[in-house]
Amino acid sequence: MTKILLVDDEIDVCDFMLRFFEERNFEVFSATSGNEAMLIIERDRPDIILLDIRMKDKDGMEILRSIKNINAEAKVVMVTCVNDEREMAKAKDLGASAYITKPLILGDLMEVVLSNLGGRRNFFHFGRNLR
Amino acid sequence: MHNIDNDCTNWKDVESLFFNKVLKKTDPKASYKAKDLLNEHIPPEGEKLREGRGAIADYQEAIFNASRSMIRFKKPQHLIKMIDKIINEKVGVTHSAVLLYDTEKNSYILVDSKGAKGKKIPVGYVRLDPKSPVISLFSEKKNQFISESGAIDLRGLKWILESGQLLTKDASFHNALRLVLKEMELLDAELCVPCFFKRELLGILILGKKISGKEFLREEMNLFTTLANDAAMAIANAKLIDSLQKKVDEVGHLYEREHALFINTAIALATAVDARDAYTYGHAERVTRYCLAIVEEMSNIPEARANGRFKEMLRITALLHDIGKIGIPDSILNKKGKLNTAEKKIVEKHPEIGAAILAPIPELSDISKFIRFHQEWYNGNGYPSGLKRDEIPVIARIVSVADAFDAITSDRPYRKKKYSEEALKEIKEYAGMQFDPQVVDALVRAHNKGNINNMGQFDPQAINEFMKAYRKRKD
Repeated sequence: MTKILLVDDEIDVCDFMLRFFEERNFEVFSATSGNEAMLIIERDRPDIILLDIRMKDKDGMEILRSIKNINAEAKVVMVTCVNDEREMAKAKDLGASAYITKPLILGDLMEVVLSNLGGRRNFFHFGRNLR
Repeated sequence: MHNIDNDCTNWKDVESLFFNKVLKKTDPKASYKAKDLLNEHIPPEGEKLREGRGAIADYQEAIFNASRSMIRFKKPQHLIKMIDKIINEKVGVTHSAVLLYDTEKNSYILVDSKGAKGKKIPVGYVRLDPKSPVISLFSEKKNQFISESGAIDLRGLKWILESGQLLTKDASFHNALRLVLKEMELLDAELCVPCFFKRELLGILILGKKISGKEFLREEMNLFTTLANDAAMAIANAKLIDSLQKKVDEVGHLYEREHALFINTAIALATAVDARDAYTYGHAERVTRYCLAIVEEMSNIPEARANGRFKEMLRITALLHDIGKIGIPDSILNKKGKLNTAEKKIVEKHPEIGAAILAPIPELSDISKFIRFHQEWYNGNGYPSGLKRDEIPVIARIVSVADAFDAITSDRPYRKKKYSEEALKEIKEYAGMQFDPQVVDALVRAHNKGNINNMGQFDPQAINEFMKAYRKRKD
C-alpha cells in the first residue's frame, strides 16, 4: 500500500485529508508539527509527503530540506496559502515535486499525487493565478 | 431566559429573535438563547417529520418562513450558515459545504462547512474552478437534462450513466457527466444544489449522505433548490448594497479630493491676483479671515441656518472676490495717486469680470453672484447694479465690509494705511450708507474680542487645515 504523510498544523485539515486518502486506499500518516513529521519520515519512510509551508513550530522549507537530506528521492508536495513566485522557486530548488496554493482543487491534488507516484518528474504548480 | 422561552411558541418567534437580536448583535447573550430555541424547534432526529407528507409540509413551511426573511439579509454569510444549519439539522447529513463564487480568485471557494471529524471539509481549504465539471454542468444549465429540481444527486447520476437513460444521446455530455461523478466523489458529495440568481451561478451547496442512510426525496431536492435560489437572491442583494456603498464612498472621496483641489485652485487664483498688485499682497487671505470673524458674531442670520454650506461659500467668495482684477491692466492696478474717471470705470468692472470668470462653473453659480455684488452699497449707490439692503446677498454685504476694512488698514497706491481703530471709525460712519449696519456691528464686536487681526501671511496650509476642521465639525 502506498504510504502518504500529511503535514499540516490545522487539525481539521489533517482529519479531512486522512479520511480522504484512506478512502482511496492509502496508508496515511499525519503530523501537526515539524518534529512529529521528521519522526514519521525516519520511521515509516512515506512514499509521498504533503507539506504545509507555514507551520507554527517550524518553517516548511526547513522540513523540506531535512526530508531531502534523509531521502533525496522523497516526493514532497508543498501545500500553502502563500502564492509567492519566489517561495515556489525556492521549493522547486530544494527538490519539491509540486507547489499547490490553497484553497486547492481536490482533482489537482489527486493528479499530483498519482502522477508523482507513477514516476512522473515534471514540476507542478497549481493555483498560480490565485491571489 | 425563561420568559423568552415561554414567549417563543412558534417558529416565527424563534426566527424574529434570531434575526433581530442575534444578527443585529444587540444582545450578545441572545445568540445562545436563539441557538437553544432553534434546536428545540427542530426535532433532533426528525424521523417522524421526515416520514409522513404532513410532516414534509410542516418542515417546508418552517424553511420557507425562514427564507422569506432571508431576502432582507445584508450579511449573506449569516444566511448561508443558517441554511446550512437548517438543512443539516432537519435532514441529518454526514457533512455539508457551501461554495461561493469569489470574483478576485475567479473560483468557487468553500466558505462554510459542517460534519463529523474527517467528513467536514476545512473552510478555505478547497475550491472549484469555474471550468470544473460540476460548475460547468450548472452554469451551462445542463443539469436540467438530468434532474427536475436542478440539484444533482449521486445516486441518480450513477443510474443515468449505468442505464444509459439519457435525454440526449450526446457522447461528450456523457463524458462530462462521468467527470461530474468523479468530482462529486472527490468531494464526498451525495447532492449538489446550485444557487442561481437570474442566470448567474453564485454558489453551490454540497450535501453528504443522509445519516439515516435513506435517499434524498424529490420534495427535499426541490426545496433545497428553492432555498438555495432564495439564498442566491439574498447574496446578490447584499453584493448590490455593498457595491452601491462602495460607489457612494468613492463619490464621497472624489468630492473630498475635488473640493480640496478646488480650494487650492481658488487660493492659487487669489494669490495670482494678489501678486499682480504689489500693495494688496495677502489681501484675499486677510479679507477671508475678517469675513469668518465677522460671521462668528452674526450667529442668528437666517441664511446661515438655511444653508449648511454658508460659511464655506463665504470663505470661497472672500478668497475669490477680486478675481476680476485679472482683467484690469497693471498700469491702472498699480498706479500711484488718484485714478481718473475712465480708469475708475475700468476698475469698477472687476466684480462683473470676476462673476463672468466663474459663471461657466455651475457649482459656483451662487458664488459668482456674490462676487458680482460685493461692491454694492447698502443704500443702493454702489455698482454694478445699484442693489440695496436685502437685495444684496448677505455674503456680499459681509465681504464688502471686510474688503473695506482691509483696504483702509493697508497701504494703497493712493492712500497711506490707517490703524484699525481709525478704520473702524471710518466704517461706522458709513454704516447704513455703504455698509449693512448689522455687519458693521459684528465687525466691531469681533474687533473688540481681538478676532480681527491684520497681521499674518497668506498661508494655504492653514486654510486647508481650517477647511478640514470645518468639514469635520459639519459632519
